[in-house]
Amino acid sequence: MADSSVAAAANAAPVRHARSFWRGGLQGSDSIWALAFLVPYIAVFVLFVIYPVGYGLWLGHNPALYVALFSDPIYLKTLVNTVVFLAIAVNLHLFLALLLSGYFLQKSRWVKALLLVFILPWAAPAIPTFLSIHWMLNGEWGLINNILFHVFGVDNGPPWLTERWLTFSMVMVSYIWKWTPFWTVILMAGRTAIPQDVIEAAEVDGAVGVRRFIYITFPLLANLYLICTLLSTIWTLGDFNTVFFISGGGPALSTNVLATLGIRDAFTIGQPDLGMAAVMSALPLLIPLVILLMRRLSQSRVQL
Amino acid sequence: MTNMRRRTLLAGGAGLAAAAVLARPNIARAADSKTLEVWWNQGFYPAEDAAFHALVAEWEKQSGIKMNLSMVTGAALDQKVVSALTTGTVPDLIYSDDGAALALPQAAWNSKLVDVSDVVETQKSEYSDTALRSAQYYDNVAKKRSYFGVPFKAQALNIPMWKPLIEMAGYQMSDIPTTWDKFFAFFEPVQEKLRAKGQRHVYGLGYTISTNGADPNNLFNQSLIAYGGEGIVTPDGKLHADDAKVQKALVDTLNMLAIPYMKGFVPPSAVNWGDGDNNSAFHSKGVVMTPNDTISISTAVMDNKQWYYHDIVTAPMPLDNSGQPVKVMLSVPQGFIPKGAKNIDGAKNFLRYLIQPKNLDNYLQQARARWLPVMPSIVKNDPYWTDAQDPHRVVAIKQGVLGPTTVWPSVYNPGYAQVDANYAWQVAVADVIHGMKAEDAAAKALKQATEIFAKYQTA
Repeated sequence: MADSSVAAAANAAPVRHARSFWRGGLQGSDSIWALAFLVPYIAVFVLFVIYPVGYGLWLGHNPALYVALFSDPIYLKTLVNTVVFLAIAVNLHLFLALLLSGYFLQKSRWVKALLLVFILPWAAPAIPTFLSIHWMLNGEWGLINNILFHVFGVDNGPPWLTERWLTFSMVMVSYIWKWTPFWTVILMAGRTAIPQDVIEAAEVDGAVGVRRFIYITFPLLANLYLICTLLSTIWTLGDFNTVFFISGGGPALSTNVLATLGIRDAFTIGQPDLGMAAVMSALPLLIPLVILLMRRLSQSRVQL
Repeated sequence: MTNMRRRTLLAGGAGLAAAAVLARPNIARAADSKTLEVWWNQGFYPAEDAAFHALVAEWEKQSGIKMNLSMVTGAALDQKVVSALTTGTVPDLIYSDDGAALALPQAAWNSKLVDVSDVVETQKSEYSDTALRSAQYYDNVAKKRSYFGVPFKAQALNIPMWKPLIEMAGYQMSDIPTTWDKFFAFFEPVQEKLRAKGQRHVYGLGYTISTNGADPNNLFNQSLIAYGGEGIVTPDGKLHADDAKVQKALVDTLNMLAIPYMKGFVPPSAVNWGDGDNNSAFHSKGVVMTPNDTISISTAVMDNKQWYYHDIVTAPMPLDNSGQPVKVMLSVPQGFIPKGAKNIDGAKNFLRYLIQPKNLDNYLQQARARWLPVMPSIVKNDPYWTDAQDPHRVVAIKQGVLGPTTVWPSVYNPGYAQVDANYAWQVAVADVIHGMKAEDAAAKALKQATEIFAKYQTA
């Protein structure tokens, strides 16, 4: 009995120590090591997250900025553009990615080769490719209108970059061209994770082709698709390159989105506080999106 | 050793990290009189940068001060400058090509610049009157106007034209009218005749009427003066939106730019051009002429002797419609020292060296003379600048150094810099193109300008 209590006490000491550690207590050199590992991380976090966000909030905290922003007709146009961009470009390119992800899962060698080419727009650096598109769309000397002239005899091709909605459509087309491959690959990965026995069972029950997509594939991909949509919406809200390098926000400042307007207000007009306010005006949309995304990610039920 | 709880540890770690982060700028920018941190606008071509490097090397040898030089392209530098002036983490000396258009007047207004009168005074008698006036900004905290920039070069609008295209259209260069409206109207039949000869996509007028870069504002504001709108802002900093003469000049300018576009004499893409696009359109012979703010279009192709000496002709701005010379708006880029600079003496030392006429003359020449000297004596004493063998430089010099010039309204009031930065005039041009009456578009733009000026009331 005495031996057993000594043994129990001997075993209990390390257990207590371990408990104390996990409850937050550190002893001796452990504290120094912990600090040594912790400080660089916190420094980076403070430098690149807390400070910029805090400084941004401080710059854009004056309510008068928002009065100025909402009285600017360019801002209202920009707001409309941003909503249209999110509603059309994000949904369209994800829907395309969903369809293409099925096509590219075919086992044909040619399809695999095509996939390689298809991914190139995403793999290529954004700025030179957008600049190339900008020049291709030039109404007078651009490649597209010259092809239209030489092949079809169209002397004055469409004003790709000189009419608001056509220009903005070209911005969205360029965005879709750039980002569809990425989401296609993500959704391909999702499709490959669908258990084969589920698919085979569905086939036995006669669910093939479109019926299989509607009743098996899409329901199983729905959660992933929603998460992709949320992520893409959040990223697209901050997308600067597409608009800036395709249209430059023109003609007549009519194709800006909040990201480009923020930069314009901050640096072209030299009012960083106003630029920050323009960007922060996206927060009422951004914050619910992030919360929704977190909730989807933290759901316990397993779904693709 | 006492136990350290997780909360204590996290708090300690955060404190140490925050201290390190906040201390970083001050540690990095410790004062040092033997080094000078400079942000300088990268040149349009390599010769410009080489000329500046040579000047710096000579100054370093004489002064014993080492220059930490960052050469940055225009748009990126402008962003750096705004960020620096906002956060207060500044270099010792800044020069940006476009600084005088926005950053300088605004920063001076907000009392963020060091007074450099003592530097300017060293060469005051050498400077042109316009150059001196262009460097005097209003400090709204000190409630005084003073020198907050050191002028060292200038630029003014001129018009390169393709002589072979004009001749192909059946005209001689001597056929080109010399008064404003007739001069620009001349290029409309030139285009029609070139089109008739199979030049499918050549345009008569290379107007930049976009909402990007500096060119659209240069063209608009120069045209405004030609139509009698110089009084839109007076030296006291007041905007004269109700002045009938100003309103008429605005309407005339809008019509001058919008109507040829609507009639197809300006490339449709000109509503979306950046600063380099009119240069590209001109070099590819897509336009017969294009107003440009330096002679960079010509000097960029200086190595092509046929183009430089024979095919490209540089014209000064035409006379006004009554036959009188039009004052040319002189953009005067300046070096400036932000408050918070660690080595103000070093920065002033360099600026004093830079504006010595001999050094300035040499520097501008080595940079292929794209920029105009701001000291008439340089032009008068050195035959290089008026050498008639050069078909472009001499035109720019006669116009921008020896001819009548005027300052930009943004010198009088930073509100005008913000009007330009908002592209209020170019949006008005677009409004006219889309069917609005020029009078209504002018009124709308003037309303916006009035609202902006309300934030910049001078004493």
